[in-house]
Amino acid sequence: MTRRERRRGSAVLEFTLAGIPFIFIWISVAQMAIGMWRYHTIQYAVKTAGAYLTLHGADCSMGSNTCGIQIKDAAKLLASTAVGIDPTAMTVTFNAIDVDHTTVKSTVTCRLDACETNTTAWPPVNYNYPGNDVEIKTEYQFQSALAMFAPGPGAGAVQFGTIWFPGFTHQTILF
Amino acid sequence: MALLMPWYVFLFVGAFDWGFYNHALISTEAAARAAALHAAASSTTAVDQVTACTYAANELKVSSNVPANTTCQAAPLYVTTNLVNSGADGQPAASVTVTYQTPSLIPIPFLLDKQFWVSRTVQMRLRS
Repeated sequence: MTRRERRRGSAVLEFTLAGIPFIFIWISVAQMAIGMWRYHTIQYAVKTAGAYLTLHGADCSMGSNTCGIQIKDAAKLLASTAVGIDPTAMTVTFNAIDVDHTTVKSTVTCRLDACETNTTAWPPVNYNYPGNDVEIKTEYQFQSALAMFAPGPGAGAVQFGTIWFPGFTHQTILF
Repeated sequence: MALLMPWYVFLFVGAFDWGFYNHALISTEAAARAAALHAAASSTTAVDQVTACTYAANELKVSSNVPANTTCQAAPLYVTTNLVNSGADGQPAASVTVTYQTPSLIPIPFLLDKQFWVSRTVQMRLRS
């Protein structure tokens, strides 16, 4: 065997050596992209729902106005804006804030799919005037496949890592 | 491997840093809007820096380097409010400027600094 033949290498062996880490990298990149997309989607949806609440305050029940809304209305908007987000994996907290912009006067916490049937009027009476604030906090459980690559020798079923994505908005009531 | 690894390391560092920088850009924009929305309520709120600071800090508090009790008058966060007598449409407006310094990250020599200042100004017509 000549020196050149000895140095030709093995395509199968080298593909195996290089392919395994590259597969990890590719899946990791895809998972990071999905995670970032969901994080952004949640934040956008929360801000949209917050803006919706700020335009449905006390003035909605003034005179002949009948545009008052409930938790379920804001939750439905949130769910429809949060494209690709599983409502059963998201917890939503609605806070009504006093005119000092910090004191929480009323709170409703529910899973997003349950929020969609909650008939509590929101923002609540007495804290729905322009000058009061509304706040929405969400927590979304992102199931990432990133962590399945470190189960340890002899591990059993594939374990998916859990990451919590927050969403937040705090806005002043306008109408 | 030895030749390629530095490129991969710098690519990773660049992507990691830009993730934080983009987050700072978006958060600063959101902070300025939230503060301006409050400031535009009246000519009194238009110069209410303390409350504008509360709104801006709320939007930026996810960022690791913004202290909980910030007054928005020292790094990493500055918030200034102004009453504009004649805004873009000739009517009185509130103007809020939010300036934020990102956390200290990993620099790439000659290409990417370890920290950036981001500044956004939002002007909104007074509602009353």
